[in-house]
Amino acid sequence: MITRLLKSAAVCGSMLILVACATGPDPSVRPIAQAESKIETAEESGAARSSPEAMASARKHLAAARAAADEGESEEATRLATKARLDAELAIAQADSQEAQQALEELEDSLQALRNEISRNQSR
Amino acid sequence: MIRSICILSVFLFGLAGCATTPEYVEALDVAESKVRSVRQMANATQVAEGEIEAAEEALGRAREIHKDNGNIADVRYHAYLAQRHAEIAESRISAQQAQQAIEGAEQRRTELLLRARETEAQRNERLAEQKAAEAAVARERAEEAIDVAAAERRRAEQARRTAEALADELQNVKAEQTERGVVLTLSDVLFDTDEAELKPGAGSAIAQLAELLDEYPERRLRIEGHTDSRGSDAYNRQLSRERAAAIADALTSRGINRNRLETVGMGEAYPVATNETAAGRQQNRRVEIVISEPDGDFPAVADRTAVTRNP
Repeated sequence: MITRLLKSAAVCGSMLILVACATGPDPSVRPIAQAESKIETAEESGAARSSPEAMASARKHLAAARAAADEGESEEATRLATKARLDAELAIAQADSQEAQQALEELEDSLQALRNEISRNQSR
Repeated sequence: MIRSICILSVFLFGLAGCATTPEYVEALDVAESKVRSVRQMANATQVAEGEIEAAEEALGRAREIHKDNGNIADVRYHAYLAQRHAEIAESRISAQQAQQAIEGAEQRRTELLLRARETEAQRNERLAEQKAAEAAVARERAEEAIDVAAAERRRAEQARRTAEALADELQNVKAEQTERGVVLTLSDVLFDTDEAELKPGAGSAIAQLAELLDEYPERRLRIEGHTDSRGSDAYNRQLSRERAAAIADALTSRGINRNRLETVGMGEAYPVATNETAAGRQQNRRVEIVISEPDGDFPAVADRTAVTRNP
């Protein structure tokens, strides 16, 4: 019981400290930076071509996140940045998937060509 | 601790009191069905486990806020996260499936290439065998052809020598090496006009023929009578037959076996010269004697019905 009380006191103390620190840097700075970095990666992997919708959504959310941060709405900015980051991650995953799909198709085509050649050789 | 639970209960109670039914949020249902289907897809693979867990967590959060009649914007936010995590998981799964298919296809490709090489090798072997067989056949054919050519050359040489020998022996007769074999032509001087009886002067020619037959006992004679075109066909055939028979009789009387002699009356059907002039007609009135091969047969073309011969 005594330890619980001590813990509660400690929690209360730490919350006081957090409140005190709230005037520090905007908590949305980090999520926005993460979203920017993901969008950049997605653009490098050609996602603009393979999943334009997810990319457009990512850019839209990032712009909105920056705007919200400028307005001081840091919680909203964090959410929008998180959405932008997930949009970009989806674009990357779709680009990877599409690339694998294409490689598979090419391989299947070459397999078919090979089979045709073999059956031609056998019938000769 | 106990106090905080009490506060929460009061808060929840208050919320339940103001709105008993939470507002319908379509995005939540959409996200839920997406998360569920991706979870099923993922059962076979671990590749998207983290994403799916994140999706389920976000979905749970959204559901909880919704059930508690929380802020709809919060519900939508967490549903959005759930939806995105599920979609990312879905893409990763399909990428992995494609990757696995690629590995399978590459293995099949390796097998096929191996088989193609084997097939190619077998085909080359078969072709080589075929070529060798063809070469052997060609060599055999060439050798046969050489043999045939040599045999033909020998036969031609033999025939020429035979013709020369016969011609030497038969001073009064014209001897020719023809496609029918060696053919001797006796002119009409042996017979009087319209007569089938040999003139006495024919004796030496008959004697020479008999000698020839004695000398080559394996050979036979085909005696063909020919006339010019004067007179009817029937008459000419009859006359030519009788003239051929007269020569055969003369030879028989010289001791030649009748079996070695064939007679035929050709009539006016095979002229060797024009019937328009006396000289031509004289050439056409003749007896041709075809000498058989050593085996007693006449060359196939000796059958005059198969050959048309024009002057």
